[in-house]
Amino acid sequence: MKLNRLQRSAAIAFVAAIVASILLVGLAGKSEKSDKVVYTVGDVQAMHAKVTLGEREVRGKARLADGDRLRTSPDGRARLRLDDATLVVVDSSTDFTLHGSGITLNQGRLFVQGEAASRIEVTLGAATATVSSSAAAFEANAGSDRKRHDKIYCVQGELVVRAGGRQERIASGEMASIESNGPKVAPEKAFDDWTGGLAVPWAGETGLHSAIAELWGRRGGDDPGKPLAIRSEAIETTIDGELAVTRTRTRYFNGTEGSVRAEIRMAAPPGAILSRVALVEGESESSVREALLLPGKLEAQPSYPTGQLSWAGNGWLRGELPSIVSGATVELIVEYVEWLPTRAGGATYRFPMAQTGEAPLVGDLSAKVDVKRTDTAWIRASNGTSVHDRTVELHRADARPNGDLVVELAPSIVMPGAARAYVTSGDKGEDPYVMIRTEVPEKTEVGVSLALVVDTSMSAGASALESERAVVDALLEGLGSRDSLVVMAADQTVRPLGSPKPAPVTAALRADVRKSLASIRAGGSSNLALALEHAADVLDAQASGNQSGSGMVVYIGDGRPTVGELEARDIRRRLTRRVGGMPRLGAVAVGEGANRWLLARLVAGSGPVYEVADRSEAASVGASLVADALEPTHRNVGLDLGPNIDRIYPREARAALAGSTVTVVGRLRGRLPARIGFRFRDSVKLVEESRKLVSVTVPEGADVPRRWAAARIEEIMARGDGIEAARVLASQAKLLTPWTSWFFASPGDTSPHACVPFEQRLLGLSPTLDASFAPYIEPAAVNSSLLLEPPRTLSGGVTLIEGAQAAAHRTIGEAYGALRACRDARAAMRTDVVGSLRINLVVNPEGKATEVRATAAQPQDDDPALDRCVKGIIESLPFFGAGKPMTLSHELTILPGRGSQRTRCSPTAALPFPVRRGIWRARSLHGAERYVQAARSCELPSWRDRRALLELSLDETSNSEQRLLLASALDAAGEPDAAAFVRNEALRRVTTAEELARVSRALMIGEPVIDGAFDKAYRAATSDEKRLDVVRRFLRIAPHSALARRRLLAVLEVLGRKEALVLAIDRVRSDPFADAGLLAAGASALRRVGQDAEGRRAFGELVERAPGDPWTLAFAGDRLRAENLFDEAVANYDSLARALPDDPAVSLRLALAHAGAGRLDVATRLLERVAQNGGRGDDGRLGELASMTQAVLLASARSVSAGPDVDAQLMRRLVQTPLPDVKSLVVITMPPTEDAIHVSVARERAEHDEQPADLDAPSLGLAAVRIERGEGLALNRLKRPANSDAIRTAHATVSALILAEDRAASKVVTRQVDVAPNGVAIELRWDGESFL
Amino acid sequence: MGAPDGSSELSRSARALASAFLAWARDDARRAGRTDETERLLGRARRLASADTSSNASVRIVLTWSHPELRPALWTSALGALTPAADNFALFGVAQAFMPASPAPVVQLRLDPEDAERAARLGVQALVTAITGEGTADERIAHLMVTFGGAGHSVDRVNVRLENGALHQEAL
Repeated sequence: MKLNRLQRSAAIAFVAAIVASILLVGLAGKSEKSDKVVYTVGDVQAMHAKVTLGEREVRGKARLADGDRLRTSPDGRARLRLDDATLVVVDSSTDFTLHGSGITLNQGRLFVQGEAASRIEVTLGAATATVSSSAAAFEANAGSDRKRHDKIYCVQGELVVRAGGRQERIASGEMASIESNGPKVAPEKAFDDWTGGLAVPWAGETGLHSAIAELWGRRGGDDPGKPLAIRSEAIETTIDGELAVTRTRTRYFNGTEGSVRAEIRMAAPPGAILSRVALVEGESESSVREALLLPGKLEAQPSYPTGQLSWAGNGWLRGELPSIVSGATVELIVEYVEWLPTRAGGATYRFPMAQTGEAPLVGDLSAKVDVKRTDTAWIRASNGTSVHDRTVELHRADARPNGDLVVELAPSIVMPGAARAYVTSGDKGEDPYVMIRTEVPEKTEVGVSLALVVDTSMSAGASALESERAVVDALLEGLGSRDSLVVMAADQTVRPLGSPKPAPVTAALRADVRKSLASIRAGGSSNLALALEHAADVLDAQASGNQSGSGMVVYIGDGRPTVGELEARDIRRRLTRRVGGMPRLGAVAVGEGANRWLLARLVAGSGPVYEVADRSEAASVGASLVADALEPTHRNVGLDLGPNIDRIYPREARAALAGSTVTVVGRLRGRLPARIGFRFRDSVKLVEESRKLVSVTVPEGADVPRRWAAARIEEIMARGDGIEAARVLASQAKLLTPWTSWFFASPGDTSPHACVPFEQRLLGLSPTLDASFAPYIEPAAVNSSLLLEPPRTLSGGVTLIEGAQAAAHRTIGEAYGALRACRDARAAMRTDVVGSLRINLVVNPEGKATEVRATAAQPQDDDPALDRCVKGIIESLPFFGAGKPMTLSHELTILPGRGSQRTRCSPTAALPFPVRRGIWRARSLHGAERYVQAARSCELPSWRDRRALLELSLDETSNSEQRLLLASALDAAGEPDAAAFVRNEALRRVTTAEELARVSRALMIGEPVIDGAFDKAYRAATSDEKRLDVVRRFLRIAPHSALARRRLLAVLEVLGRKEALVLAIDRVRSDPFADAGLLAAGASALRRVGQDAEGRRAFGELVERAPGDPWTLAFAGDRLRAENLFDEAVANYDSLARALPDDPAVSLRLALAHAGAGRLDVATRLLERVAQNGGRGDDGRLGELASMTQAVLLASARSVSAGPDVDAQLMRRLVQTPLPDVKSLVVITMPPTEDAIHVSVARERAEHDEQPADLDAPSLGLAAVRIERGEGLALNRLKRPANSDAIRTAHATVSALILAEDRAASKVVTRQVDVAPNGVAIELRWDGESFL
Repeated sequence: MGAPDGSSELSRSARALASAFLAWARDDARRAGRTDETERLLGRARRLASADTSSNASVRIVLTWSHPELRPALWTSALGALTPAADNFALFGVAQAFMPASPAPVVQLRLDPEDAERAARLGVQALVTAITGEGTADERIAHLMVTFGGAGHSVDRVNVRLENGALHQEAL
């Protein structure tokens, strides 16, 4: 058959079309097949190994796919967050499968918590239950009889279970046992809470922030505003290699009746840097207004003519838009750049949409993630998306997004064992910028080694110590037999609790640690560096094989060192100097006063930091720490980039998760090196390797200069170089920081614009994200000063009767709880019963209340039943018997309880916590009124919220008096918990001894001074037992009396009542108003009764109470010297010398301490310096005293045979010592205590004319007398006051140096004397040659 | 809700009630021979006790009632003479006291005479629970239902003594 031309053409065209079609289909098919696409439904985090997903082990976090089977080993535990906001806790030995909208539990235990928007079906055996707006625990177990014993326990809300053709409702607190004929429901008496607290199902989740910006329209004032409707949210992301550029366009509609000022709140993902902010007003694309990144000018009352978007802490961004009129639309455009981290061969892009609280409704939600330029071989994307042409797409209408959009991929550019370099040219004349990225090697580990350092110093206090115990407890529960653990108690010393080296975590070890920890009490000062160094050494000593790599030192405490290294930088330096280098270090900041910024800087680049404000947060933090520690990690990871790259950041080597990406930035000053050095520590061994450096084409949108600037700013801030340099650099690099913002300003404008002060814009500060900025924005609270100086006088005060009356009023006040119970009991019968009462009574000579009469303050309010109840209580109270009757009238007001009126929840109550805090801050009401209003508006659902609001109010006060007023107002408002919290905080925030004295007076207003009457009675007592009776009686009147408490310790010691003495000292140590002298007396007594270690801790507490305070350091050093604890004294004096450099008195103290420790050389050199410089600031007496002391020390040393060379040295220095031209000189050294020895001298010419020592420094424990030439006898008298509370003699050394013409022939005569505290003088007659 | 340091009124009353509920459940479980359940309950009681007990007070005495018009006050002999217990939470229907096991602890329930008459007329009761060595292996639990008189007569003070592991009502 022949075809004509047209037919031939048609046939050719037809065949070509078919071939082309086949080719296209084939190509298309090939293209789709090369992209292996898996859809994922949630996140899983391994809380403890081993957790397997299908056949692969989960380390850290991973995504779950529909159909995945998850199994945990007998030690394994995991937590899940599904994208519909369902939370699941997985116990050990559990096996389940995810499918569609359900879980099939084959074996083990699950705890499932469903939010209002989530709905998940859990199937176990033949039973199925749906969890939505409820929480339930499921247990599927095959019993020994091979039958299933499945159970479902409803923790919260209610469930409906279907089984055996029946369905049953399970209410909160009920357990359903699944039997062959269906579920059997019964109340549960003792559910085995294997979750460690059902309230913490998702440990480590510190609050979810969505990157979808919300706009709240406000009309000003206290109006929290309402969210503007989000018409559309369009997310467009391009991933090029490992760089992701995200553009979001969010369109809002003001549907309210008037114009509003819109507040913007959104979060940026961790690691993202904003590159563009713009606004489209109306519908037209032509009206785009670009925001400019400019320096901000903090103003208390800023106006916002142009609107802005600022940094708000903890990943938040916050700002305002100009007025939006009713019915108008605006579109906010935000662009940001992320460098995707690789982990285990895959990179993860995540657009955060999950958030704490209800997500906003989005009219049209669309997302496109283009991964074409990654050359990935596979794609895993969130369920609900579709993948077309290597673009992941999401389209939803009227959606409330509860889960993040997650895309996982493997950029082909990432090659194991090689490094990538991105080079971007700098400005004209400047060096190019370079970013280098490479991957840390993978690592297989089976367990974790932890060294826990539990801060037991005094500042921890009982409450924080309890929280620390709870954290340790949670860690013990989280660890298994393949893990090893060592726990150390740390204050000024370090001691193991249980095993001294890491040991497997068994039931016996848990019991041992718990027992040891329970017996610990807070005390002593805090030497953080010493403790961490010791713990790291212990961990390294144990290091072997794979176990050691994941070894981590975890500090649990308040992060407030008081001795040794005090700054994070110094502590890190000490740790880096170790043979094993910087350890992997984690920290838990415990308590309200914890210095979380110091801890954040301490662990920066080496581990996590968590916060535990109270016990309730301990369980989740413990679980998270175990999960963190479990992740295989390499320590001291660093890159050697050669000579052509400098200004490299970060500067220090860091810890990095195995298989993860490390990034460094720098400036290129020549050719890019072909290879770079890569080093890390595998266990304790330092591994160094050379890696090929591949230059990569910089993708569009890359922000290498900004990354360099950000890293440099972080370094500047961490170094403490101030904010100005950082501000300038950020402005140049167009980098958002706390001091720069995006302003909708006129094009070309470069001037600083007014921006919101931090206290108004801050939504949170995270130790992880904001460690470098935070200390400048919210400086750590200055150290408390909780040490009163000893009272100057211990006499005077009121009469016994007056004191007894004051004590009687206080006794009635202390019975307040019982009296309020009377009122409460009556309130049920008489709602109008009032709490204002007048109580008249007579206290008889023995202290019994008689003739008691209680009536209402106003006769018409009287309630006889209430009066009778009060009378009964008063009659039962033991009063102080003053030996004669006392008539008393007491006015009492019983405060109303918490209001019973209904609460009306405010719109603010539904907002996330950080936002609520911002609104509280802006309210016109303050103090107690604001607290009560918030409490009654459901805005304070948990203690965490209450504490935050109270802290806000406390921050608004400027002194202790205002804080105590706030506490009183809260008490009056029926909020005793809040009042108690504020009082504790008022005390913790005291920063000077004067302020402490004022607080002390305010809080002990009902306690009289009764020293005079007490002293009289004490002296009249004829035996120690009777003296003890007197002391105890008077302490009932004045429990904090400095004199009575001193004498209590003294008498108990004399009587040998060790147990009572230790108890009394314990009370003194825990009293914030105990003075320094009393505390030192207690510490000294502890050492004398055989509790040396505890005594030393008690001395350490002096510094712990007022760290850094010069007076305290001097006082503590002197007292330690008096105890012959010379090394401890030197440590205190060293700190003092740092605080007061070149102070001659400090040098003199230091010299005496060194001399006491036998370090004669350094002691005499210090004395020499004082002799040379000491007289400049005074009349020269200190210099002369130093010279004389030096001479005596040198001469004394010569008298002890030390060899001719040493003797020659000593002689030379003695000859060079400047001394007065006298016949001899007498130097007396004695303990520098409260009841110091008084030294006087009577010369022969006028023996009865007693004069003080020529040079007398009792506070230093030093005195000196000159014996002039031609003088005869001199009588030296050493005496202690007769009314001293001391019970022991004080030891003094009297050294006389006889000066010869030839100084080398001078000799020293020494006499040791004991001076009793009885006012009787010890007399030493000096005749110029010897003591007679 | 309240401060978690455990010193607030709300926390103390919550712990007192939890302690009583757990004690009754343990008592039931022991009687029924449910060992596992007893152990679990004992573990919880131990945690609760660790937050409350002091070194020399080994007996927790909890007074509970449910009738809203009954407001007894708990007095104890802990200090020698009878004094009001520190924890009298009339509004929450619970009062508690900690006492040493020796000498035999005595508590007194007090009502106002008017209230006692009403209580007698209504026939309302209060339950005294004594837990010795709470949470320990040697723990002993005793309880006693107390009435405040009957038809025609009322009692405004009731003494209860813990002796040999049992609670006894004493004549006044």
